[in-house]
Amino acid sequence: MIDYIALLFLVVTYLSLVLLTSFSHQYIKFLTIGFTLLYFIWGLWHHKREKSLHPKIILEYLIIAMLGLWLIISIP
Amino acid sequence: MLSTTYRLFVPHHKNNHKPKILHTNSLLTLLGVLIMAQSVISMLSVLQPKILGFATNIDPEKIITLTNNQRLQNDQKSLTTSNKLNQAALAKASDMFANDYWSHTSPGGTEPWYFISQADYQYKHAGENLARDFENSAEVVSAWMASPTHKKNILDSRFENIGVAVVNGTINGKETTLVVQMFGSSSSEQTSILGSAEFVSKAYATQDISNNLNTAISSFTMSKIISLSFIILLLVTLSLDWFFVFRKKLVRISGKSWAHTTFFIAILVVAIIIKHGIVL
Repeated sequence: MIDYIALLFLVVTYLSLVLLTSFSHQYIKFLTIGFTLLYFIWGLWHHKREKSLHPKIILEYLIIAMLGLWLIISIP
Repeated sequence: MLSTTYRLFVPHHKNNHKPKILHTNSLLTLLGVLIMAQSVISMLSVLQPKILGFATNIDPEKIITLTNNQRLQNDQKSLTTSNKLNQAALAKASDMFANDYWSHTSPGGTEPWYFISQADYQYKHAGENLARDFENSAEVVSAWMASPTHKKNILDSRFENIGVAVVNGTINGKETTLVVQMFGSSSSEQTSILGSAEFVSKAYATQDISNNLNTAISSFTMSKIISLSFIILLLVTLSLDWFFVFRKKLVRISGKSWAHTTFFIAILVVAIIIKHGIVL
């Protein structure tokens, strides 16, 4: 349960910080780098707690985080 | 066709109880396709600016009107358009393109006040707001109003005159529309009213360049559409996955898709609200 609360906190913090930047894409890109990195770390932590941390899971979270990051930073 | 769609989106025994799109190799393919699509957009915006360039609809007159609206809403007097400040703004924008910089001060140390003095505007107080990469006048003024320092300039009670230049060009290798807004107060300034011949011709001169590019689709809009399409595709797949895993009570090593769904919802919100322009 604590993992999901942490994830929710991460998402709310990210969105709040984005709102504080007046939607400037410069800052949003930096925030997104931090957010996706923390999401990847969260994924590892969550699955370690669940005792299901497998190389496939690590790869899945890595690709999902990279996709999320690229979806934002590729907007010029 | 139906079975392919089913395999792509619905978890069942043929796709190891996970939609094919969410498999590692499919996600990698999606990432590759996304990178390629965005690279094509970047290349097209450089090689074929008429097809996929940058499109703007920024009008100096509209910037002035919107600026004055903000002042009136905040109990400040309207600013009068100054041809000299228009000239100063145009000279500043031209200098930024000529010397390839995005700053209030040029690499050689030239400050905005130099252009104001060169335009023969004897200022008591002066100010400058800059913006680039915006798509319309309202976005520019909103971004300035959202920034405390720019807002201070817009609402400064000491200013009486305003001049605006909107110029297209390339800064740091990137095509952009630059907006320079100059403020000033001077006892000697001969102000002109909006619609005077000189101002109109200047305004149209800057607009002509923009109008040429209005036929293009903005590369920003195109990239945003592609990103949003990918996010929606992933969210739909994740939702279907969550629904079927929940209904069939499946137990998987990767668990349910709740976390990824939350992650992509956050990314979707940001992709929707992200704006193009930068103010300085």
